[in-house]
Amino acid sequence: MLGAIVAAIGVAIITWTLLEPMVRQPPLTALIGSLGLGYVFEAVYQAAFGAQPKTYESYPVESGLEFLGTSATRLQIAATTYAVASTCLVALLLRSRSWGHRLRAVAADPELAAAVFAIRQRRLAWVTVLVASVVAAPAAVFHAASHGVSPTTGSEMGLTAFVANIVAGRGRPIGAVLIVILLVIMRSMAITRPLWEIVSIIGSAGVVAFVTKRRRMSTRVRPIVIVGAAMLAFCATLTLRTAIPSLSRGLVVPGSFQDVVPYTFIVIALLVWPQGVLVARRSRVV
Amino acid sequence: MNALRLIFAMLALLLLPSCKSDPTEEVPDAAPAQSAATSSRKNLKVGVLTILTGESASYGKYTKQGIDLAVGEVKSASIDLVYKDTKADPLEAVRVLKELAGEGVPVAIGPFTSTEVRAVAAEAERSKVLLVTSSATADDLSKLGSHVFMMLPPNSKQGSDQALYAHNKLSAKRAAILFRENPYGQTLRKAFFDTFTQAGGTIVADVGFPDGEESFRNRLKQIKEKNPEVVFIPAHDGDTGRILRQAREVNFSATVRFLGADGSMSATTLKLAGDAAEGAVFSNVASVSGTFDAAYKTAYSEEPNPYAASAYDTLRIIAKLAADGARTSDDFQQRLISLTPFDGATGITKFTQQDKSYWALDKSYRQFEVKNGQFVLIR
Repeated sequence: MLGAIVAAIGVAIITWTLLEPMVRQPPLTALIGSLGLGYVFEAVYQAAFGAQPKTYESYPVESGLEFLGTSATRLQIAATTYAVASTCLVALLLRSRSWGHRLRAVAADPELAAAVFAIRQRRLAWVTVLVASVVAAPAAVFHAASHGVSPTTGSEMGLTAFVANIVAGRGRPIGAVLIVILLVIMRSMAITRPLWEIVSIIGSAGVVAFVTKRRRMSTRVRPIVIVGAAMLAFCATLTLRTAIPSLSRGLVVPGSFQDVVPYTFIVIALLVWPQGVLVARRSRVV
Repeated sequence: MNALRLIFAMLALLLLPSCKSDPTEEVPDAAPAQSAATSSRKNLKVGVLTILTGESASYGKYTKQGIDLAVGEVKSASIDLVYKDTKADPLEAVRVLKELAGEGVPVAIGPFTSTEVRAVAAEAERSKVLLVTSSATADDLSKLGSHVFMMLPPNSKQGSDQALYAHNKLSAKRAAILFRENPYGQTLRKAFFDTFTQAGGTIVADVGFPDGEESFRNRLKQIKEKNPEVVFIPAHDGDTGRILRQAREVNFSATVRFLGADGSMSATTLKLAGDAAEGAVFSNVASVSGTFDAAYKTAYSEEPNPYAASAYDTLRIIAKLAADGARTSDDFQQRLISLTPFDGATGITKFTQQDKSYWALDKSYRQFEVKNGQFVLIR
């Protein structure tokens, strides 16, 4: 709770002093400025707290609980539960609260939202930033307890979240969460599974995404169908590997190329759906 | 309003670095008290390039303690120590080396890290300052030139020593390697791999990870499936601490032994790993002299540190050469090359040319096991 409050206050100060002036600039200026700010804060953190990782020394080292052929510690289970609960809560807020409706209107078309619905975007942005920081703070605590904290902690996660938002499309926060999950799973599988398996899973998801788009499936249902297809493909490859053990010895991506697989997916997705995987393509006005 | 924001932001950015986690951290004196007291009759300047401030200052502290202990014992040489803080920054190391050259220093102990040594080597050659590093061990330092002397064996020897320890002392036949994909990790990995397989063992898993990686569970599960008896982790302290912790989380068998290298032998590893570090074995050069151990404990009320022991030997060798008449960097270079075996706190020091530089190859890396949250010398 304390972390959430401190995070909200810290983010509010940074938003008021540094981010708000940048948002009024052209998009590219705001983007570059935000990235630069990230590096500045890394340096400030390092100057204040040092480069060595720090952790909660009082938090004990746990053994994992074995289930379904894998293992997870209580901390990991708690973190996952929190992630699911907070995602559902945010989804509920977006659907049921006026703030959520206004946010979605602004995401769809900011000019229209301001002109027709008189939505005060500055206030809306403040509420959104504060809600996001309060929701993210406990997640940061979970991460720190599990991995420790260093000056660069969060930069890779931030990049993943940013990319997921672009791929999902503007105004699709839940879709972005699902994309993040997909990217993390792909990254994890990249070095532990044969390449043919990864290509099969991504290919299946890609085909289903293409087909559901052609059939104009609802954007609420599409992500679920795509993820379901990927999971079915995963189970199928697992079954194949179990039935034919020689299939386990396929080419595996080396550790340093771990990010190639998920970001190849990103490039392909953006080539096919530049407006976002979950957003309808706008027709051109002639 | 915008001006107000700008002022507020700048104040916050300027004030934040002052919120240090250790407000009692102080910059030590530039020269130790013993040298100051006798400076009137000591006229040879010896530079010391080490890390006196910042997060890695503990390494500099041990170096300084070893050197100060040696200075207190040496009576025949005429030495003035000139300490310079490199802050573990290669650019800063070059800057302070230039200061030493400007002060007429012919020989310098340090820098501490291999990265700093690489950065200063060219300037040292140009400025005619001989470098004798008591801690840097990267194999590629051999290419830097005949004005660079390493008091410790190279990393490749460390990897070999750990492989022989695993095979001969732990009777391991199946080993796995989880290495950081940088020059340090790759050098140690190759040496361990070659030596372990030559000794008759089998490397059942050989997995790398990139810089900045924080989650190792998938890699550890991959390794666990291969049933190794030992896992060698040539990586840095942040990595090794997390790896040991996460190995416990994925339920590695308690019979599997984890081996690390000198780059992981630090308080950061112990803090990150917690009690998961118990039983892990790290390699480093250690003191073999009971006399040094007793003197160190008396002077500093703590267990002897490998870096202190190496720095102690370095200063004593330089003092011996100075007493024999060495005054310029060329004098020291010639005398170091032809140094008769010097029996010191870390064993026998005799320099052998490897490629272009000189190494003390006759020392062995020894093993330290983590017991009750401390590194304890076991052999």
